[in-house]
Amino acid sequence: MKSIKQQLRRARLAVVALGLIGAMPSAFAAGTDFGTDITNTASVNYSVSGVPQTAINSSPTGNSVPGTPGVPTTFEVDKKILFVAEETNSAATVTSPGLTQVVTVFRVTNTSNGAEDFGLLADNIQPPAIIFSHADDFDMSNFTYHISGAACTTGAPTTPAFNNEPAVMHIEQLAEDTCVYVFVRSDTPASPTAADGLASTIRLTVTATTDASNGVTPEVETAGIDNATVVDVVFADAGVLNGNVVEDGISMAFDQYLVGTLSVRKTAAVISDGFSAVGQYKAIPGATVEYTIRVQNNGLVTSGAQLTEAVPPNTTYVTGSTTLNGGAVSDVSGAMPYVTGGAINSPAAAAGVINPGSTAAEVAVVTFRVTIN
Amino acid sequence: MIKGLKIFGLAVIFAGSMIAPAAAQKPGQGCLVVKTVVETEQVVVNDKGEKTTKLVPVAKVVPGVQVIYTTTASNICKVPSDKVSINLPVPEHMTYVADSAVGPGSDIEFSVDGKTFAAADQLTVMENGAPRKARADEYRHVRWNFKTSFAPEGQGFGRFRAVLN
Repeated sequence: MKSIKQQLRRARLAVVALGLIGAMPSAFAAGTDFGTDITNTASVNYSVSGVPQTAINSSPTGNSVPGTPGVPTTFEVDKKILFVAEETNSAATVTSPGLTQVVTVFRVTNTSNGAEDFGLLADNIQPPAIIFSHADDFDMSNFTYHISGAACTTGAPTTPAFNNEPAVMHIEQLAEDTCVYVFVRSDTPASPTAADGLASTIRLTVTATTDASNGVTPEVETAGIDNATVVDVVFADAGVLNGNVVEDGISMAFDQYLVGTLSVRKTAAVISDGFSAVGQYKAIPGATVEYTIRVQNNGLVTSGAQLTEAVPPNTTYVTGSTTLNGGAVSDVSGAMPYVTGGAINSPAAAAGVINPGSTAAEVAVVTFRVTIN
Repeated sequence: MIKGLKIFGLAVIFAGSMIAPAAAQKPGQGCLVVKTVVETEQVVVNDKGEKTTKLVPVAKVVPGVQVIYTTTASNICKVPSDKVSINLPVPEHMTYVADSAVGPGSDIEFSVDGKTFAAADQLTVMENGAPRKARADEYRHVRWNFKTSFAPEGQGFGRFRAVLN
């Protein structure tokens, strides 16, 4: 039997109805799918002069014909759009000056009562609050979006690796109660705009969009009038962090790129002067000075690292005194080997490779000695 | 005497028929107009800032929203309707709101299986082989049994609230 939908009068947006939240069974995280018709018919039994009569079934306008099915009282379940965009690993992504298409990872979860399209847009807007303890120092460029093929489960997010998924502009029909990981890739500016320790915060704006508009047309909350023949739209997003506004069909999340490069620290110590007691050496002519150069990688693993270091004026190089990570480095034509540039590396790493980190296992340490003329 | 017997016979047949007496409105019509509406509450603030609520047709029902079902039975015959009983299910995808059923002049009963009806504090279900009191969120039918007749042009109603899952 075909149901006839109720013809409804104009009604003001019943905001109070949204507030009358009753107990919801927890099994239905998203709730009854939008577009579902909820039908109900009453049946009434009665007697006349003690004689039971044939039951009469109800209709929305009133039915008095017994023994017929009546007409169901019906309403259609409308669309409740509820979703959230989040950054996944609570940490910045390390990058270096000029590095292109560097990946940050977000997760988008749809808990609407039906599948939904979402438009994706990243930008460099200044965040309303400090993200990951770094100010927003520079802008990234050339944003692209990719949907991870890795499985996504709701609960604590993971950070899957980018696997060359194709670039997209939107998420197509994300099913209810499911999530996807979204990679946002962008280009790092060259040095000195991007310099060691500087950060760039980016924003991803995820917008509920109409099906078939491919992420372009935002969903619009149906105003006031309930249309009994169309699925109306209600925004139920509740996030308020970092500039998010409740019930606007938009969720924003922020992530950050942190520039890491090599940092170099040089120290000098007088290790003998021919006269003074231990520990009281003075920088006098004839004294021996040992230089120590520590190169630390604050960014991504580096290859081809080369150190170029001049012998200071008014000093004479002590031949054979150069070491790298405690091992001897041969002089080049009788001169300090790094005067013309030489590869340096973390202990036990290949020549030129400095692994990120600040411990003795990663930092490259060069020493050499000179005597003061 | 034969005449009298005939008349008596007619009266017996008449009383035993399932057809409503000639006091019905039209052929094929019963004595009650039965109407079911689904509405929601709207808070109305008047000029003095006083709030009242009124029932309006549903607008934008999404999971979590509460609606109010009301079935009204009105007597359109010239004789009373007795033992009026309204049976209105709790629809699929909805959950009955505890203590929300009202129906002036009626005894209200509930059912989980559609066959056994009982008052709220007497309805039981079986769990692990033992009976226990049925919870309000398990009710699937509500029934209002009106204690007095509906006079001609009289009416009664039954109402309950339910939340969309």
